[in-house]
Amino acid sequence: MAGCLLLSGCAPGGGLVCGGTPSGGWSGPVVANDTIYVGTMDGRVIAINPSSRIAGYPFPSVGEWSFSFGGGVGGGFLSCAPAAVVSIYGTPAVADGVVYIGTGNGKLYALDATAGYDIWQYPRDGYIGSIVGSPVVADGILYIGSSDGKLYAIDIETRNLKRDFETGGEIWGTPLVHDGVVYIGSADHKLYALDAESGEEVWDTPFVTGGAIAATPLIYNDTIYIGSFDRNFYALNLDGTPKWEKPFSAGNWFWGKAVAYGDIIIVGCLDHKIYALDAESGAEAWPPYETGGPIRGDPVLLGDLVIFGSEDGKVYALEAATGVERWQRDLESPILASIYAGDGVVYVHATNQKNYALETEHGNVLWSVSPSK
Amino acid sequence: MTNSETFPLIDRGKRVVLMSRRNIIIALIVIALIVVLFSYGIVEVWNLILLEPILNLSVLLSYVLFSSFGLAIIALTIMVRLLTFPLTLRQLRSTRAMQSLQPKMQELQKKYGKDKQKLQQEMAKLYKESGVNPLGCLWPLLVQFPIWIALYQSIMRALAVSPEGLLSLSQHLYSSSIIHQMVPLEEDFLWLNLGLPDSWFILAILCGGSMWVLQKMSAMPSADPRTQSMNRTMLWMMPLMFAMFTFMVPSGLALFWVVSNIIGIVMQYFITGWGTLFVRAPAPAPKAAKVQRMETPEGAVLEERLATERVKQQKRVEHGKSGGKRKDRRRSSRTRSKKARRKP
Repeated sequence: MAGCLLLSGCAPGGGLVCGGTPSGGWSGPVVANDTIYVGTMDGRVIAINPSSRIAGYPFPSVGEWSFSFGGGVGGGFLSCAPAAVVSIYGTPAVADGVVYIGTGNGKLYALDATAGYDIWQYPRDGYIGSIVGSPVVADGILYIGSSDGKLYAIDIETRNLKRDFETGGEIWGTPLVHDGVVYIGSADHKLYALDAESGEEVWDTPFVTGGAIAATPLIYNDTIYIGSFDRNFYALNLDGTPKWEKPFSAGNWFWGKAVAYGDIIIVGCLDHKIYALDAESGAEAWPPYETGGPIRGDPVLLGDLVIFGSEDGKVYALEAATGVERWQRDLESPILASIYAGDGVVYVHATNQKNYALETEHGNVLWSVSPSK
Repeated sequence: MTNSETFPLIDRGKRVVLMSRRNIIIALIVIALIVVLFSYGIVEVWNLILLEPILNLSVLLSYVLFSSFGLAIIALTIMVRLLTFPLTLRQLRSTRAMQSLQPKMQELQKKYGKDKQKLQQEMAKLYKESGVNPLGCLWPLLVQFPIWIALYQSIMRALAVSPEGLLSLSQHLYSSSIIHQMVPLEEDFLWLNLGLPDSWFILAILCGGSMWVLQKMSAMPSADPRTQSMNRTMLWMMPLMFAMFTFMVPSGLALFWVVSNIIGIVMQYFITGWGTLFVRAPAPAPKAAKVQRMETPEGAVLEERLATERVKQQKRVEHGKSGGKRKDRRRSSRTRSKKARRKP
């Protein structure tokens, strides 16, 4: 047995680290006030000033900062105890000069967007379950899901918990707030709709799928679109009843959020494909586009392009109406994080810990930075 | 042509290396496997043949066993242990056979220690006469290795302790809705969270204790003091090491170790009985040398003579020649213990 254990470390596709894959997070970038905020794989949130990057100054330069959640080296040989490095999976949320981010060790941080210092934390002492999704701010309330199965609603002004709602499984997705209703999926296979004011369930029963839900719902034209680990993609009416005759079936799980372009719903899948579906019927609008790896992050729309990253290390830009490839850029490192597009620039956080800015015409790299501690 | 027939493979002067038909078939299979591995990629073949079947079976078992991945680990370990039982049996028998030849081997080493070629010839002759294949205990072990490694990996992957682990898991699951609906697997089992190390010391005690029992049962008595010393060290070191590991690995893996040890104990009991479990550990090296003398017929005779001499001397002392009472008593008890030790 000892031999087996030792040999396992050398076995293909294996390794003695838990799950065979080192943990590190997949935080995506967000842009606010001409600054890019992103969580790093070594347990930090950083603010990047695009002007400083174009000028080629060393990081951190003017308007840039780095906030570390502590820790040193990761779990180490054989260890599956919580790693010393704090993983960040969610994309930061920025509101009123404050950056909100949840961490893998179960803490929510509010940081000053300009200087990057810690304003407050939730909980003040101790931790909640691991946070994998992104925080959402709506009407002075911050919503965040946790692996302890609870959706937390925190009053930003008082910094206290307003209420929480417990589901039957881990919450790994990002909540969606729409018209006073909070939508959240859970690993208990259910999609919940909660009244933002009272916290009560809006639907008689939650919508049940055949697998865990880690994706964030999209609401478009009064329809909720969401994918599940049962490999199906669903369209629901706002009352929680199915809209399509039958859900759209793919080859693997849906983890990312969909985007809408006209009457087309575009969503990435872990079966390496991106699908375009008719918003009304669920029929395929254009043939699925296949990449070399799973598509975990959310695609984004920029003009008439849908842009997304894949675990094969490439960023793809397709014509949203037809699915025709406009360009692809190989960054040679798996892309698990959601990407951000705005002002004619695409921002990508790859697993080589580099942040890239690509122009949208041909996907050329404008600049890249690997912020050191 | 029968199985026992052999083919000359290499002719180097006087030495002719012979291969049986079975060995040729095994060699061909190994060559074919190597070709396949390098053609399709080691990782792909490994995943396709071993990792994915076991991984999916574990998920399926947790569906059958009340959505409990803990029960699935136990069931899977039992299944793999049963499947590899013929190999385990063969390995144990071969090991025993090899151990039984040890006294003769030592004699040969003493006799032909300086002439290595002669020693090799005599050893080969001994193996042939006693029908023991020196590699007989090795190949069942080698065949089992990949299966155990795949089982180990599949448990680690199925536990998917991080979101990255879950993402990786999605790429190894079969296209069955039952399997996909089970993910993420239920990690609570008894007092354990299978994805986290056991902080209650219980698994550490169970793992270390069961491994100690298994090792003690399967330990072969050896006349060689160096082997004895190594066995003593391993008997404690391995269980302690694995007990320590349980604080660092997911308890699902530690559970697999415990179950595997317990099955090993049961198998060992039915094959060899309690073995050396209730036998006291041999005395430290200097005394062991004395015991070693007794194990050969000549040594036993010598010991007998020495003991008789001691008894005679003691009787003389008792009749008032010399020495205090305390000394006499000590000598007397030593003699008694010698006699007791000679009893079978």
